[in-house]
Amino acid sequence: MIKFFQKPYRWAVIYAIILSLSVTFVLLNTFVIPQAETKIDSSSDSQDSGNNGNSSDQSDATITDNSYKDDNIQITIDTVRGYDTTVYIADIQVSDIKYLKAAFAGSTYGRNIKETTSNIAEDNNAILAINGDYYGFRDYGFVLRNGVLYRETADTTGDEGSEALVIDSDGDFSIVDESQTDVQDLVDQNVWQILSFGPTLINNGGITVTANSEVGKSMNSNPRTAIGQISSLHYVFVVSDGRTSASSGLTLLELAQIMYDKGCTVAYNLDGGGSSTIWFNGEVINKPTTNGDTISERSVSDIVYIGY
Amino acid sequence: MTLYTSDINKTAARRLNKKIYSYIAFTAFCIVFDRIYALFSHGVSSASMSLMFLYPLIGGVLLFVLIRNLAPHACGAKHYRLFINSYSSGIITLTIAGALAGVFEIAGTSSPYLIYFIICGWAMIILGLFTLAVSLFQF
Repeated sequence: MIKFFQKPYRWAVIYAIILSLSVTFVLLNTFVIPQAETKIDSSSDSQDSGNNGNSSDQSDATITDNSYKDDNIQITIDTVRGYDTTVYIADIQVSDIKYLKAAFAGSTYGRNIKETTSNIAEDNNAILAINGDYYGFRDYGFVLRNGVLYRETADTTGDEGSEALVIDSDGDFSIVDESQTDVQDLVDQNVWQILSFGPTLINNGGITVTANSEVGKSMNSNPRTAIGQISSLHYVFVVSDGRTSASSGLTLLELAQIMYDKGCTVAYNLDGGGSSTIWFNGEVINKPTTNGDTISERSVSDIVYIGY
Repeated sequence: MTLYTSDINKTAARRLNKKIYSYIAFTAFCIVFDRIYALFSHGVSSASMSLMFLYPLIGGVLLFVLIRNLAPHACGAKHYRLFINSYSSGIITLTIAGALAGVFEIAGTSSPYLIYFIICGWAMIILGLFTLAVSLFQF
């Protein structure tokens, strides 16, 4: 055996083939191969109480290009310019937290299961939707959606990355450090949603990021997605364009400032960059970028939406 | 034909120089790869990728410069080829692990398989160095 590999280049060629195959497998496993773990049965989805006989409410809704209003849900979307960027701000008032929902691509929990925000929104009859935390791109970070726990592995990768947004059964937002939290305690408290991306933009009414705070080590302005709470059952979704000639994008501090100006007491950064998408009443209203600066929707793992 | 010690040393130096130049080229490739990848990563950087060039630089260039200057006769050792195969594979595996870690960090994801590259890489380096040490001791 050793003699065989003593010949020049034999080992090099064989090892290069083994290494190439290994790298290919790891890349495909990480980025491409779908790994479904749980198929969500929409009829038994969570402790869903928001759809209890309310389908008629949607038919009575008043809908315009930038607003929606019925007995339970009021949405107003403003498009503003700031920081050399177009920013879409959705102001949302609901009568019950059950109207603030989350959904997975293909109604399936798992890794590399992806669909565009608009497809997931349409599949779930959403009224307004934004991209979520792209949980399926990682093997860590709490995933609890619509009252059901899917992943209890805490994110311990970094200071800001360990922060998760918890939406409780009353609809109030809070921030927890995943590494210091037993997710089962949150389940026992009937928490409604946990989103794991970060960092926290605003907590207890104050901005918690600085000019040096960034996702990973990005120091650039980027497309962004964030969610915040203004008061009881009063929320805001913010999505910014970026990476285009018309919009440079936002830093986290700029995003936090916008949320702060809207009156948020808690605000949390979700997956941004090419994932940043806001969809309203059948239309993508921002300019999502994919593969650099191409204007097209990126497929993502999950969305946060308002709907029945 | 009789080969004198100086001839052997010259041959060894030539072989070792070839190795050193290969590792310099590999180091340069790692740096260029990192710079090019940075152009497409929207300002996100990764220490794993930025520093992966240290594996061929320290583990490759530096080690073979030391061998050339301190123990060129190692080239003629019995298991030198086994050392080269194992050690070089280890360096390449660790460098690729650094590149993959960088790709994953920049994308914001992770892989449970990355640790196996690191374990294999270090195992092969240790095996290679052990083989070299044994060869030098026996020489």
